[in-house]
Amino acid sequence: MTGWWVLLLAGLGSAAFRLAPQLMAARTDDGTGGAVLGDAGTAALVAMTVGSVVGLAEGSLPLFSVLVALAAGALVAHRTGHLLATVGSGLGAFWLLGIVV
Amino acid sequence: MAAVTTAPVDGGAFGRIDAPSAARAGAAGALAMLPMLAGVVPFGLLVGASIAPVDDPVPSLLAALVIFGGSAQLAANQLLADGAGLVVTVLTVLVINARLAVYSGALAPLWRDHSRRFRLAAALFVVEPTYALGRARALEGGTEIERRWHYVGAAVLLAAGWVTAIVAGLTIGGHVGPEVGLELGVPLSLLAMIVPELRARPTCAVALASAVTAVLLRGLPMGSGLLAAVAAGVLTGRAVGRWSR
Repeated sequence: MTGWWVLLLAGLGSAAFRLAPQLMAARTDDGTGGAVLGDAGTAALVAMTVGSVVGLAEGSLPLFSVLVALAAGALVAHRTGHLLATVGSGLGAFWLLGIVV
Repeated sequence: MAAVTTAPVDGGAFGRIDAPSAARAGAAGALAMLPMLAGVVPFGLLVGASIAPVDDPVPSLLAALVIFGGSAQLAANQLLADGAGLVVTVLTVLVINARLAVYSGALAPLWRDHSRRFRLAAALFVVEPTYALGRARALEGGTEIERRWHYVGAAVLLAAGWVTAIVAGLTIGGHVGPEVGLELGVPLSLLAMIVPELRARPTCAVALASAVTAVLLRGLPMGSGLLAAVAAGVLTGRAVGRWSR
């Protein structure tokens, strides 16, 4: 029964987090408010990325290989800005290290 | 030969639909989401496998779409399996998912020309991959139809892949060997979205402050370090922006 209550309450809460900003969108200007929200979005994205990397390095994946994969991915992202190339280069570097080391 | 013309049709929450351009934009959105699935699928398998010890898997399966956030759902499944109470489990999910308000808020000014019904429907699928792709596509420009259907294509593929992976994880187990490293797909995809944005000094400061805070405060309960990282990023970005002027 607890599972159903979690589904209901957490589902309602998650929906509220997603919907509230859209319902209040008319009050958000493109100036300072928009810039702060843009910064907050970037900060959340970075924090989630870093958090998942730290989680992987602390868990199942070797830290060195993770860092090399991310460095390769970041380099390609900086040069090309291409999603597929970034993922491919990062995973490629990870696999290559797995074979070599 | 007479040219085939297709009149726009009423698409409900999705407004007037010009089928050929909507289909092209939707396919482009799905294609853009495809590399992200490389990381999302192993995560979904893991979440699916974490459902297994729970007595009644139905609510946890429904949560795949209702909560629609891997970290929050994984935490909830683990807490339920450990016999944690309702309040702790719900609070944990809400603290972890509070970041979704930030993503939705950041998209709101970029979605201003979309219909209200579309914005509300689209917001229900806001999570890291859809936020990153939706923001990048909105900043690229183009017509309202192209941006709208690009988001729909990306969100539908993500939702389908996510639910499929969770069901697969529940039925066949969630173990993908660490030597494959597919879990890296999610951070690498996000990296591809973040790095090109790191050109202005305030944005770099936001990213640096957020990253450092996220690492230092990762041990805080209920994932609240994430909210602290967002706050640190915003405050630092404002301070550097003011100082730069």
